[in-house]
Amino acid sequence: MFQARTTSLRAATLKAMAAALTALLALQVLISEFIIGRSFRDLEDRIVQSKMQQTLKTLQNEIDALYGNVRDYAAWNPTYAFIEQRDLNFIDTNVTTDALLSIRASYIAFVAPTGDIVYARRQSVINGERLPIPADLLSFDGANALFLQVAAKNEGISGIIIVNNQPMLIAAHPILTSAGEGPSRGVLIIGRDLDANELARLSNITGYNLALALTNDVSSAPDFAMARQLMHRGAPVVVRPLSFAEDRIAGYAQIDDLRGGEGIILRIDLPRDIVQYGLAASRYHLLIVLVVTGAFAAVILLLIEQRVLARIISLSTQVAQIGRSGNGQARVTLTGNDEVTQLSDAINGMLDDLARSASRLTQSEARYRQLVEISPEAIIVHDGERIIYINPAGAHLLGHTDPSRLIGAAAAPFLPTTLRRETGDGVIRYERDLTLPDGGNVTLELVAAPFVAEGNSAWQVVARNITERKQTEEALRNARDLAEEANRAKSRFLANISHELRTPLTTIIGYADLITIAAQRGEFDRIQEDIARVRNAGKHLLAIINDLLDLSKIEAGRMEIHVAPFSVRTLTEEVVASMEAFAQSRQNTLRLEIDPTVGSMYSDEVRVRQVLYNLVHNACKFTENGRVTVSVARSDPAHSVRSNGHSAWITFTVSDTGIGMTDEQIARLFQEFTQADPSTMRKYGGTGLGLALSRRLARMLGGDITVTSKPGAGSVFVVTLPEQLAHVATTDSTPDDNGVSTPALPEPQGNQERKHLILLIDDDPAVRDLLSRALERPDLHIETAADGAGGLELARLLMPDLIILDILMPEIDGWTVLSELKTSSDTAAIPVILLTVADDVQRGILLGAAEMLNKPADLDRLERQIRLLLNQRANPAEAESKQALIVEDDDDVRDYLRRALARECPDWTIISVSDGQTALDHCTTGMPDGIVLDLTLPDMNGMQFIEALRMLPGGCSVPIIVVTAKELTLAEHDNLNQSVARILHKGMFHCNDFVHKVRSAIAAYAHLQPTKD
Amino acid sequence: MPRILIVEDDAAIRDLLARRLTMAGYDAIFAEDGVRAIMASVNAAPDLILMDMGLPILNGWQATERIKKRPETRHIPIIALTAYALSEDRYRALNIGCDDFEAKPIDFDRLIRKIEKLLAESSRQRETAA
Repeated sequence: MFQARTTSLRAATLKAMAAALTALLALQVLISEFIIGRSFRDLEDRIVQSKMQQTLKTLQNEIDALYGNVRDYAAWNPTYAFIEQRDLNFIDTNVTTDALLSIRASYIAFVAPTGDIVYARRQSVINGERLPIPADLLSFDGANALFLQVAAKNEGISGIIIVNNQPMLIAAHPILTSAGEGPSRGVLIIGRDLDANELARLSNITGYNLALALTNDVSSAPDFAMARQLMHRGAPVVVRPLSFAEDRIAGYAQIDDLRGGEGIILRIDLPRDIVQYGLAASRYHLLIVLVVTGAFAAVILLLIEQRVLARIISLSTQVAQIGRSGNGQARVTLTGNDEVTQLSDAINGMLDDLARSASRLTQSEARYRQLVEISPEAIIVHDGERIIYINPAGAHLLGHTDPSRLIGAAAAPFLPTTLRRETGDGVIRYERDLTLPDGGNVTLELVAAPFVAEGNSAWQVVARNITERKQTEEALRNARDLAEEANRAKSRFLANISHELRTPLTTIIGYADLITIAAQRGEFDRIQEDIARVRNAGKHLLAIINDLLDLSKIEAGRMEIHVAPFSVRTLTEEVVASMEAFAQSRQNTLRLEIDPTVGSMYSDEVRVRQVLYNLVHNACKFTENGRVTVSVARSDPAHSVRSNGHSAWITFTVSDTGIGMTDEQIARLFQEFTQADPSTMRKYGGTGLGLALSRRLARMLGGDITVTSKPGAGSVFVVTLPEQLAHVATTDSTPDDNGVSTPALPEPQGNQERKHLILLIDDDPAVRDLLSRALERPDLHIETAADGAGGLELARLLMPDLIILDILMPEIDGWTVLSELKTSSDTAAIPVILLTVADDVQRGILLGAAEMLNKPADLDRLERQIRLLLNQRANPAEAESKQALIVEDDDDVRDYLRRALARECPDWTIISVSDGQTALDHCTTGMPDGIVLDLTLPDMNGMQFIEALRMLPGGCSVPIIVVTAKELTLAEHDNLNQSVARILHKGMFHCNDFVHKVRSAIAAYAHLQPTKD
Repeated sequence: MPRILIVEDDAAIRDLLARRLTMAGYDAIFAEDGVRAIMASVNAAPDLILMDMGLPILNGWQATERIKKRPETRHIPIIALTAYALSEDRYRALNIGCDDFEAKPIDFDRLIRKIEKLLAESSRQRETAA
């Protein structure tokens, strides 16, 4: 390619040079031929013409000289006389042969005016020999009459005449006297032959070659014929090259016969010196120009070849070689410092740039390749059918370790199936499912961009495995649906709860109004009945609230299980008996069947009773005019289906003949806040909590509830519980119940010799009996009193370690007893546990009770409280003077806490403040022994306060008892548990519990700091 | 003496309502479920109905709809009595044709004012119709 171009460059240069030279020469030739040559010919023409005139003038001079001779003879008296006398002597004397020879006359005639020839003679010009007179000159009539007119007119003539085809010079003059006077006696005529001699003589005179031809006879010489033709066109003198050789030029002129008629054509011829010299000079010039131009062109060509063409060709050859070899380091070499060298430098510069950019490109390519190779996303290049490239992540996705083995494999796994989104630049995004070779399914999210590779369209694809994300999304969606469903259920539940609370309240308020009215009117006849209705409605309300509380405890993980032995038979009989009236009100028969092997259980009696009660109540509620059967059986561990390896099972079966349930209803049966059917809720009432609560409780007790039912065919509920509940922690695995635990009871003191004396004052013998037996412990001794007066007396007498006091007693009630005890200095220090149905905590605290328990007494709780109070009395060190700081912004609560502490710990210094900063200031001046902290403070939250406190000197180990109304998240709970001693929930603790916790926390702190005391 | 039909399945509340209405000078009759309520509304021709919504067999909503559809009972004013006390329950009750709504627990003074007002309105309508 390069070679062809350079060749043509050379050829073009040569062609251009040749063309320019040719044009130049043509111009030169043109100039010499047409301008210089013509000029020379014009000059030659003029010269020939002037020489012709000169020749003609010489001829005229000859004629004039002849005429002079004639005049001399004619105007001479002897001649004049001769004519008169005709005396021939005259001829002999004067007209001798020699005389005629001297004037080279060849003819003389004396002619009388009549035309008679007086005398005539003709002789040779050379030797004078007489020659005959031509006939034409013998008479003078006709054309020759002209001569006679000479005499008549007395005027001479001269010229040329043609005689016998021979030209002759002739002159005639009238014959006169010597004086030139007439009358003329005739005419004298003298002639001279214009023969070859005469012509030669003229040639000698003029110096030119002369020739002549008769005008009417030019056939002898063709050039004369040509000249004659040209003369006929009007040219007086014709100039023409003489011959084909053109080395001579000829001039022609015509002289007519004196008498009229055709005469002669005279020719002179000359060598063509001027033209030939001129043309020769012109040709020499042309030659010189040719030579100079050729030399110049050769030099120019040489220069161009050497300085430009050869180097450019070399350059192009080198560049072509570099291009072919692909060697990025090769460079062109060229010496010199002209523009071509600069061009080569520029090419080298470009090659450098090219090499640098190629190097950059290589590095960049390597970097990007590395990126693609290590990318965790699958990256694939395909042409729509086959994989062109795939990175290790992509190969891994397809279950291969070597990506190169997948090149050429089908691209189908990465092609879009249906769902695709297109963005404006041709990039498409889509998702697709893919079945892997190992059978697994993954979901891919892909982005594909089209590009053109070597003329073929292809796609670059990035694929991401979003299976986990999809699963997470799915799980989240499910969770959200569940949460929304739960929320809806909760809303329904709230509406139902509102309904259920309002119904008994309607009764209570309504009858209270009626009783008020009755009291005003003094009509008491039905008042007992009305009060009973109020109480029943109140009980119902209480049941609902208890259900709610139980459920909320389970929800919050604070349900406690109190394990104790009890008789299954007794429990079941009691439940059935309590339900008898309700069953009858719906025309149901209630039957009880107890397997004789069933004895006692070691479980939480309260909860078992609750579960059983719920089931029997439900059975009666949803059955009308039917039968409800409760049966209890015991299964041996060996035969148990649900064996936990160490216990027999007690099975309670409650079957009815009621409305029954569909499978769908059963599925929703145990969910909180839902009844089997919302319409049955309206029909049968209820909180919708009973069964959910029952199942939760059963599971907490290590068992479960199952149900079988058919619509219209009744339902069978089966509760299976372990006979011995040994390990509470294994009872229920649901996360909600992780707070379930049996509180650790303080172990009895090691010293068995000293028994704690407890005084029980209650008017109810059953309670006295129950508590006496329930509190039968090796280290406890119970004394009882049946009324207030007896109790006071015994208290003063025995000085017991602890008093359990019933409030509702005839004559002297519990309040009176309590105040009596606390006002007497002997008994004031004895802790008193109040047993009451009235929830007047405030009054109890004011009067100095250590603890208040509701009737019927929770025996475990009672025992726990007894232990706590006895412990405190046994460890008087804890009662030493301490400083407690209460931080609480609510005035009432703060006052309540302060008074509770002050009453139980009279020696303590109690400081109460309402905000965090004041509390911190106190701590800076003197660190208290314990801090009671509300989590929500006006100026900072509890966590901030704790952090600030722990930064103070001595503040890192101060026990903190948190009191909060806030519902804590699990994380907050954990967080707090690490930094505080106790967390108490407002409204969920008794004041003595609170005091005890503060005390024990401070005591624990004191043990940690023994040097402080 | 205007006659008032009390539709209520809870015996205590039924008794309560009856005694308060009697005291206020009304003749109280009873129905325990939706079906009996409809029958009583026809047979006993009450001047006003106090309708509990949570009733057996046919609930209060269904009974009210039926009573308000019958030409001979359409004019009888109905006060919905329900422990479903949310505002949408109230709206729903009025929407199906109840003339007024009273949530439980019942404020008797207000209930009796509502009864008086509705009875006065219906007697005025009867007079203009006559």
